[in-house]
Amino acid sequence: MASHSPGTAAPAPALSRELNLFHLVMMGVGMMIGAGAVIGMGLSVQTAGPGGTLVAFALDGLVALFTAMAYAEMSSAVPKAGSIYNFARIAVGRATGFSAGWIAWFASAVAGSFYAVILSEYTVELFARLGLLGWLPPDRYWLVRLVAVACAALFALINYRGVSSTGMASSLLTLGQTATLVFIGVFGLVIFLLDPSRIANFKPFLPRGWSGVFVCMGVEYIAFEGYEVIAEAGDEALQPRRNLPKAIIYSVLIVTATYVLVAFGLIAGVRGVEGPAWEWLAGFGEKGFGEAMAKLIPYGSYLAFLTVLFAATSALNATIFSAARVSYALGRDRMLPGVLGRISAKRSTPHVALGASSVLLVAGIFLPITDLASAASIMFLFLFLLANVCVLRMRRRLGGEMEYGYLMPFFPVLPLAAIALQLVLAIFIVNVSWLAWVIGPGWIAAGLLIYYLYARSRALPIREEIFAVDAPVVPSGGKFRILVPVADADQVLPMVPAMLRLAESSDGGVELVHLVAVPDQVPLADAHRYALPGTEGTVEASLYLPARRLVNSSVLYCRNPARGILYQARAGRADLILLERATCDVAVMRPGGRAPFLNVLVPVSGGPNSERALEIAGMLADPKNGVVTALHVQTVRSRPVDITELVTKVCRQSSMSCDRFSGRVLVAEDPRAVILREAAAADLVVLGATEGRFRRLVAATLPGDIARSCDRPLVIVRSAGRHRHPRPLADLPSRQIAGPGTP
Amino acid sequence: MSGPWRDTVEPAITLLIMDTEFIGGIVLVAAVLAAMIVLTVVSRARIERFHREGPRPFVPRIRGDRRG
Repeated sequence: MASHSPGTAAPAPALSRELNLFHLVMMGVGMMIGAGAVIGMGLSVQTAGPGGTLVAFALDGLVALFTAMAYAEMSSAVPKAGSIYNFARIAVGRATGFSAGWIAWFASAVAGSFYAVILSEYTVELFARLGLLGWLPPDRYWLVRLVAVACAALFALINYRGVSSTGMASSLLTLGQTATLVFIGVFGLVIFLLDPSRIANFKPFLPRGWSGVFVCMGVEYIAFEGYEVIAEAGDEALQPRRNLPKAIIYSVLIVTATYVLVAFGLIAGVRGVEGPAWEWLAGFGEKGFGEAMAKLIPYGSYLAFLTVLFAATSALNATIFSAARVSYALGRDRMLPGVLGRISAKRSTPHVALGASSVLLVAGIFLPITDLASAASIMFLFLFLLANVCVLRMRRRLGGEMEYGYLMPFFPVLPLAAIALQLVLAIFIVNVSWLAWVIGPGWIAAGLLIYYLYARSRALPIREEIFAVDAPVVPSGGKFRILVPVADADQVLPMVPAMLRLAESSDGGVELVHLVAVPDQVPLADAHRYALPGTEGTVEASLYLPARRLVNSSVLYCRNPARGILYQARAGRADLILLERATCDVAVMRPGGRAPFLNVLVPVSGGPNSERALEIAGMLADPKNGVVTALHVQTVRSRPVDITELVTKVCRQSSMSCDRFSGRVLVAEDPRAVILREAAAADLVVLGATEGRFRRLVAATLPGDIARSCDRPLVIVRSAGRHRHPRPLADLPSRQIAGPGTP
Repeated sequence: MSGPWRDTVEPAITLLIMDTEFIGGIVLVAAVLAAMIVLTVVSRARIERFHREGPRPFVPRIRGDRRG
């Protein structure tokens, strides 16, 4: 992070890296897992037969892995804002970059149409099974389409309001989804082993021959799109050169294995039907997954509905998100009309790009389902073909200048093989849908026309293809480092005295960081648009701090401010965060009053947080006349605390004089009332946070309750315990802790 | 061999081995998955090596030169 001379210049911006390998893998798996095994099962069996489906999924996975390795290599060399749009601009040129963005926009939107229709099909089917649609005519084409439009509109609205697709919650949801599919596959495998006669379900193995397998591979290729989104997270990933390529490759392997397993389990699970099992399954088309589930597991159709609901929901959300993001980028760079690059003032999301993508998506809904899947697949095949061209060109043109974190093996055989195979698969799609071959190349031709007639002369000059401010963190020079997140001037200025006191007491320095939350739909490269009054607050606060106490100030762009603070604490090796939780000691302060803290109350119950609270209280109390009172309220159920021993221990550890500390033990059944009564006479209350995640989860905590009820200036302290930075407060000389006046 | 093995797994294996078309197909699928795993393992090793030794530019291999 670029430093600045304290008080003289605006803070420098930087990006927050929050996503680890697990998050990245789950991001890729979550984008892919919704389509193939779950939704395309019936269509695959229809096209390639039972064995052909397994072979097609496996071979598709292999071809996808070749392209994934190309993405992995490029993202390791350009680990920032690494969409195919950027790769193509860097490796080939502006026209190809535009084509890549143009194709990606359409591919994502049409894939979204496909998922919306599937979601609608299953929802309508569930309602029909529950007997709620008896009053409607049997032909449900228009009903399915209308529900699909409603679903698309709902998710467009959700994206407009701003959603997160990268958090721990979505990672866990993807993990649960994958685990459910693996369970279905394993269940089918066990049933197969217990009843070997089910081998008949796989006969004939390739009823449509190898041509059927290739057609199926082409149509189902859409099931392997999604991993490329990992490359787009380059500016948010921890150790991007290492984690991006790993996550891209792992996610393709996980998804392929899951697809093959689920396909095997479902086909093996069909029992008691007339005629060959695969023909029965194929007859249901896109509803085949639900029907096969009903045969495999009791109430399986309902489980299938839930699985499809989750899968299609996440896929629909992700495709709308991707389509909006890429069209926004095209508008921002004036490759398309600049209106697409506008950002909503109210929601901070690219609302025009979102609206245009939604229109495209809704138009796709009215195509026949096979044409829809084929059109989406063909566009992704072209897109991935382009990615392989890019990896070849990048090594040839820029290989000597790039720094690679990964170089794919068997180069250039694998990218060339991927190009050839993807071309073959695209050609085979014509057997299923000639319309896809009209729509796909037609869209590309229209794009090239737009580029040469419109975008070429208007596109903004390539200022910096890869935007990322990733400057080094300013070293603290061995000082105790206090990190203070800044929202705005009103929030931060009242904290300046406490900052100063902590910095002076520990002979440390303050680092001010303003966190700018950027909506997911907007690349972090454009985050500077969101840097609002926090910058002013940071500058203003830095004016009140002496230059020797201000280590650094910065603006950090992030998706999630809490995680951004944690990132900054790690990157800057902070010893204490004032205001948030972190892996170091944390003090959350509610400031108030201007007088020195003469009478500081510390309610204690034993444990590391109480000790840390006493230590911080000793630092905050007035060094000459301040008195710290450790108060323990003894109830029937609470364990006794030796208050004298606690105070002595803290004083010894932190090299502070015990003269300024006193201890009191009161016996009562309502600790809250006693603490609040005692707090009324204190200038400052310092509380240790409640320990134990389970306790915090299931019950209201006493410190939290007191913090809400107490009107005095208050600090809640949480100890980092064993994770604490190995330079504790105790290592500092006593005069620095207690001030020059302390004996 | 007794009980469950004789009644379930043994006939299953016999049936599977007899069915060459099915076995051939499954072996093909397994081979493809195995190839994917090998590529993944090789890639992982490269990533870790590059991470350990630091990122590097691409140096085209010259005949007889193993540096590339």
